[in-house]
Amino acid sequence: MLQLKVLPKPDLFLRLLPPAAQAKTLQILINRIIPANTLGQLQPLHGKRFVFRTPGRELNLLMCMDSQGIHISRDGNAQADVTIRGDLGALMALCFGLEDTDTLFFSRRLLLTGDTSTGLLFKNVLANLDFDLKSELERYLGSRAADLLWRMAEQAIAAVEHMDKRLLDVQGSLVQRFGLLSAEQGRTMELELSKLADAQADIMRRLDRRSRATRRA
Amino acid sequence: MNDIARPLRLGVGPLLFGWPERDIRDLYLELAEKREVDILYLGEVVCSKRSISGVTWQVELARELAASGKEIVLSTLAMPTAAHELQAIRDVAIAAKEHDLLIEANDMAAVAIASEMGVDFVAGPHLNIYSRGALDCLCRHGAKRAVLPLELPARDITAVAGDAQVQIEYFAHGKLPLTFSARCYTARAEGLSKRDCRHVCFLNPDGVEMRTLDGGGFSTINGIQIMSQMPFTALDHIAEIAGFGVDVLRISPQASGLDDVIRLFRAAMDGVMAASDALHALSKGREPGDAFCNGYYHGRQGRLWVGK
Amino acid sequence: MCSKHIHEKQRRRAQKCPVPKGCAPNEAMQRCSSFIWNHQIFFLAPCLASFGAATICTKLVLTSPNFLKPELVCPAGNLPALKAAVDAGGDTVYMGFRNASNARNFEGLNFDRDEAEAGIAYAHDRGARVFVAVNTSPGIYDASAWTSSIDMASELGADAIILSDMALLGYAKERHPRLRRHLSVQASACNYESLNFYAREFGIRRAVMPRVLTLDAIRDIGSRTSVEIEIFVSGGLCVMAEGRCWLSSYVTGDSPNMRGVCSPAHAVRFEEQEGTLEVKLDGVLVNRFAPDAPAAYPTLCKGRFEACGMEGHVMEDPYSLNALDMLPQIFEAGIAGLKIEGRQRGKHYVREVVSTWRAAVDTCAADPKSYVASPEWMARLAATSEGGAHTAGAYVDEWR
Repeated sequence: MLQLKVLPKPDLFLRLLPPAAQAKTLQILINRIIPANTLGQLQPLHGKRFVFRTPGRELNLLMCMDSQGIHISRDGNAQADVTIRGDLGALMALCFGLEDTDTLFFSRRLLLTGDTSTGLLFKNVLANLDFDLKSELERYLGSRAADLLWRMAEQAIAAVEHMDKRLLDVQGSLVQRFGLLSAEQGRTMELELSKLADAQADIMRRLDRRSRATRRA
Repeated sequence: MNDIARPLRLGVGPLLFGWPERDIRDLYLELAEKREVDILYLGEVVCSKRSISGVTWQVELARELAASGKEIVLSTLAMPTAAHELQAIRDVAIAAKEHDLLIEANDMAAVAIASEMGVDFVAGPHLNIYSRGALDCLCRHGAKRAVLPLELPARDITAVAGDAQVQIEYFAHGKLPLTFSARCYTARAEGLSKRDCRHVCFLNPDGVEMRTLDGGGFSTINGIQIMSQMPFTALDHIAEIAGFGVDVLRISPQASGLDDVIRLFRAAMDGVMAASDALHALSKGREPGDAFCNGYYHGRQGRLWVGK
Repeated sequence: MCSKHIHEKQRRRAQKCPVPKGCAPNEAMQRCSSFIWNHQIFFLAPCLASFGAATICTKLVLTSPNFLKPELVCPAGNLPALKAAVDAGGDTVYMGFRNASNARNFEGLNFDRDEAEAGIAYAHDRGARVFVAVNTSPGIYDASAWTSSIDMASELGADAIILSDMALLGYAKERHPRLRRHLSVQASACNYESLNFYAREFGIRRAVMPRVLTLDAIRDIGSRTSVEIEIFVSGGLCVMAEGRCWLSSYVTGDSPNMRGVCSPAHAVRFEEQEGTLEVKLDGVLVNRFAPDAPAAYPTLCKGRFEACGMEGHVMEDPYSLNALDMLPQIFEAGIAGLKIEGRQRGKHYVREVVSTWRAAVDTCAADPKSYVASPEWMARLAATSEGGAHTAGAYVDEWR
């Protein structure tokens, strides 16, 4: 992992660029860096319409593909086969295979609505791609620009990873403290702990009452 | 395969629900009296914890029923995992050989045991006979009759069974057994575990209802088994079924209304009543789709009712 | 390998035979042969002794469970995942072809012929094996996709095929007798009688056990059959007897047996209303997720329903299987293969999970008595799993 310095977030660029410019820039960039054989692997997705949207609508683009290449345009809430909502890091992780996609869906960082069958096809076709984003960026943009972009992407995704890592830490410490718990044991423990908490609260109340009574006496 | 000359026969059982032995005995003795019924299937298919008195009880009752002149078949467990469960199947096979009865094999273990002992069997619906090759293999090992998988569309029966030298049985009425598991869902719903189940299934003779979170009907819980919410029925398709080469129709028993089901099926089979009228009578004034499902007949989602 | 070594030693010894310089070739040969003949005890004895030792060792290794390190059988839903599995230390990968002949028939998943060829070459070059799953029932009117898949697996050099249907087992046995046949979990064989039946009838060498048996039951079955036992140890937990579950076709019309899918994507609809996520399968509500709750694919048996006045996971909680802490018992039970579920997951998942299991299996093999599943491993598996937590499932009796 590269050392992360404070970098401008990609979100900032999104907010600065108007949607038409976003679409045009992305379209040019993507069609340049994706090699021909990878485009060929995307053939099952031809003719399908995908909308990508960030929660604040900074990104709200429609994508479709055909033998010509990948077409990206302003969405304007057009009819889409599949709509994918998520923060920018999660969307990049999905499209460029940078992180485990299913974890992104489970943790609700990505939400897929519309035709689930096409959505699954999209996920599986992307997962099958023989495509290394970093080397393609270097080839097209030169190593310094590529490096900067890569680090910005990693920072955006780190927000995703950070959550996963936090989850890992919490899981790890729980497991360390209580040993290995099955789901049922976990629930039993929760139940026992809440009963204990209730009993504690009850005792505190009684002590409180007694001390008040003593003071009055 | 069904000849036009040979009429369809009607079989009842095995009982898939958990009932106290006394109630099971009463049910079967009553069924033995009915002239409409040709075949009786007796035995525990779902959970070995239910058969408290074991194989001896089953065989004694079978012999009592055989006096009625009906064909009695000893059904066996669908998922035997423990040694005593396999031994029970062996004991049933021995008894079947001794008393010249068929057994119903619902697991490959029963097929293996029956084949080894030279006992003929009915290949039950849980043996997954999806291909002619599978059917032929079972026939080689002693299958005399076969029940095809419940999800198989009726029109495909001919393609699978074709001109095979084995009788074909069709699950024609009753709640559809959809799954098997090791976990007891009835016990779980009552906050218990399978080990300490206290036979709560005995309190639910037609199973426990499971609904969706928005209140819609979904399925029935029957111990380690999940079943359809509503009973399946192919009562209005009897003539068509016979045309596909089916020899025996199976009715799966339930706690209430069984008498009507048997009576109306027999009436339709004998041509005394039009099949559609029989269905109308069975539905008791409701739309058939509100009381039954038949999606599997048509190769559709099992929970649907597909009207004519 | 032993005998080659012996021949080498013999050759060298023969070269040292006392042939004086200037000896004629014929006489030299005579002297050599008489030397060997006179000193045959020095050649034969080590030969026999090594052979004897080798036999004893092999017998020990094959019969003593403590010597057996089970192999890791890893999921490969596509070529990148296969490479990730092999690179992460998987001993074997299992895959399917892109059609309904396997029980993970998801859109865009699995291998076409070229990908399978490349994958098998990649695995074999690195000493890994490849199993091909053709574990659904053949189409009733057209079985060609199934038979051609079996033919292709054989042609491409797969190390075994995983089958469940009796007709296909018969076909494979007849047409490709030397291709190892494994019994899929879809055959739902849950006792030794079934395994022995399939072994006698179809010559199966290994069977995958349904996830409804306790480890004790599995050990017992293993002791009464010569069929190798493979069990699931990680990943999505199917609580029903696979191959005997029709919940999916009951709700959606498609089933694993006939179409190779369970709770298929075409029937799935996610709908979000003010943060609450509802998921339906063919219009039937299967689950509801509160705004911050993790989402899950609407596999029917893991949905939330209502029974006896209580709402919740009436059938199964959506936790994944994880038998990491049971490795010593698994070793002792003489299990041949540890199967990791997850062909529908991607290369990142496969890399994480396989490398974790590799570390665990190697650690346990080195010293089973002091083995403890490290919290780090557990956390890594939990982080990738659907539902985020883990259970030992049916392997432990309390689960029932």
